Parts: sequence; C-alpha cells; structure tokens
Amino acid sequence: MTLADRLEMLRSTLSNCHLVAFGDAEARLILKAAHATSVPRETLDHLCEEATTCFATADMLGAQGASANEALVLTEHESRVYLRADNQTDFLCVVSALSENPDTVTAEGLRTLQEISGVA
Amino acid sequence: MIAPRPQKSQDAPLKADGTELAALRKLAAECGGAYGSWRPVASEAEAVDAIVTEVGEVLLARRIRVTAQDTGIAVEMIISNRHLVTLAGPQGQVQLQDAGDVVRTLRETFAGAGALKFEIAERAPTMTQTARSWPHDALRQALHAQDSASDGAQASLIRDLQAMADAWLDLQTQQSGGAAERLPLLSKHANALEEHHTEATPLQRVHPRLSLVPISETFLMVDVCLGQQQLLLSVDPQIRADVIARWRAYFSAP
Repeated sequence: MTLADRLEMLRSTLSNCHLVAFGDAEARLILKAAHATSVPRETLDHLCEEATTCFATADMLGAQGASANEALVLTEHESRVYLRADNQTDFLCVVSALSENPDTVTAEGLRTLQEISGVA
Repeated sequence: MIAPRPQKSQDAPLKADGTELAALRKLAAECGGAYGSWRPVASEAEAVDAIVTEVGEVLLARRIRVTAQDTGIAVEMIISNRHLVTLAGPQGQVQLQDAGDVVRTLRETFAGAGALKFEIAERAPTMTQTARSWPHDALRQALHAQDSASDGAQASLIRDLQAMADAWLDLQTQQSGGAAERLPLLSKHANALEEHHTEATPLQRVHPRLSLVPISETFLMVDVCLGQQQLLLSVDPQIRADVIARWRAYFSAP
C-alpha cells in the first residue's frame, strides 16, 4: 500500500475528515496529502507551520510521556490533530470538523503514522 | 473669507458604530479591494462588514455578486442609493424581516468564507416592486449590535477558560493569575511566541484558534487567540474535554 493510499484510507475512515497530510518536521514540508476538494499549497504550508510550532512548544517546555508528540488545534470550524512519530521528524496532520472527537482521530492517526514510519 | 476647518483631536475615539473603523480598514487594505479580486476575511463578522461597506458605497443601481472562496457560495444583491433592495442566494430571493435579519443571514451564508470576491453582475438592473429596502446605516447599526453581543460572549468565554486554568497570562494586558509556579513557563512560551511573531499589520485580525499541547501529566499548555486577545493557560489535562466543549459551545451559539 502506498503512502497516498494510507492517507486516503485514514481520511475515509474518519467520518468528518477533510484532509490528512504527512510531513517532515525538520524540512518543514508537507510531503503528501489526501483531501476531497483541492487545497491550496498555502494551506498545507500553514498546517506545516502550525505543526512545527506546536511541537517546538512541547520540546521547549520539556514535554514528557506518550502525549508529548500530540497536539490539538481548534478553530471556528475545524479540529486539527497533529501527531509526531518517535523519530521526531515524521508527522501527520488530520483536519476534521470541529465536532469530531479528537481522541478517535488521535487513535486512528497514530495507527496510520506507525504504519507509515515503519515503512519509511 | 473661508472659515478655518475644525481640528479633530488625534485622541478622539472612533465612532461607536464602527463607521470610521470600517473606513480605516478599507483604506488600510491592500489593492485587493477591486471588483473581481479576492479579499481575505478572517471571520463571518469581517465578511459581513465588507458586504455592508459595499452597500454603503453603491449609489447607482447595481446587481452585485459576492462569492465566498472556501465554500463557493455566491449571493446576488441589488443595491441602489446606499440601500440593499434584494438579496438572492442559490435558492432564489431571500425573504428578510429587518436589518438584523439581513446581517444574520449574511453571517450564516459566509461562515468560513476565507475570502470574498465582489463583481458587478448587472448595471441598471430591473428593480423589483418592493416597499422594503435596508439602508446602509441600518445594516451598519445591526452589525454593530450583533458584534457587541458577540464581544460579550467572547469575554464570557475568556472568563470561563481563565476559571478552568491553574494559571493564565494575558499577552495583551500582561495581566496574569493563578499558580505562581506555572507562570514562568507561560512567560517562557510567551517570549518564544514573540520571537516567532510573524502576524502582519496591526489591522489584520488573527483567526480564532485554541491550541492544546500536552506537556506533562498535570500540565496542558493552552494557547487561545480570539479577536485581538491572546491568552496562555496552564490547564489540568483531566479537564481537556471541558475546555474543548466550552470552545465548541462558543462557536455553535446562534
């Protein structure tokens, strides 16, 4: 299964998911994304920036434990879950409706991220 | 002899109805204000503000089409003599009661718009036979009244979040409260944010945002951006669901 397939599978698994993106936190780049409608590059860049800011905050404040690689950002309409792999480089971003349960997204997202990072 | 022009004090407050503020925003906007170009909007309120401003600037009868970039929704308005005469959505003409109704409808229609495009769909359109139209001033007042109510709800949300927190730091006022041992960590984060600060002009609004970053079993870092206010909170991770629920409730309120 390709990276694109895995991202698309995660997106279709979650009922209110708009976008799933896989990126490199060191390179500050979204490498692949799955989404229903077209998404401007600027939006992907913004998500990447937000992910690196969240993880930088966690690192700066000495985050510990399994949840040190997780962050959640809520906006007016969206919920964005950011998950970082143990290698501290690979990360996943899942954008869903504000009503979506972030714990469900996190559980499904971590499973996909482990598969991807394991493959990589 | 020409009478001397009255001097306006530089300290004079902006008009409470937001007219001058809207004019300043328009003046400060980049060249994106032309018909046919996309104008970024940070919220429904800003989208409605742009539409009401447009109503106030059209004297000769025009059919103006307004399109939302992110949702693709378009409405058409017939405007004449700074009055909104008709408003038509994808399902046809919208029946509206008063200016407040117009503003509410526009807010709902342009939720999550991202950017708006104004186009002249027709010059000298056929005016429908109607005894009702909504003057720009009435729309502006209705918008201001709803914004005031929204400001009250915003203050209530901030108060509730502060009450949930072990400690908090308001980046706008530099006020803080709660557990003293948490405040240095909040200040450290505030300093880092200041170094990374890339948000542009003072008139640009920041999108509402609530970030939750787990730090330890007893410390969840919460960063709230709402309007011009930014607040850092130290929250017990056990009440994370309550914080999320309060944020959702604020945005789902009518």
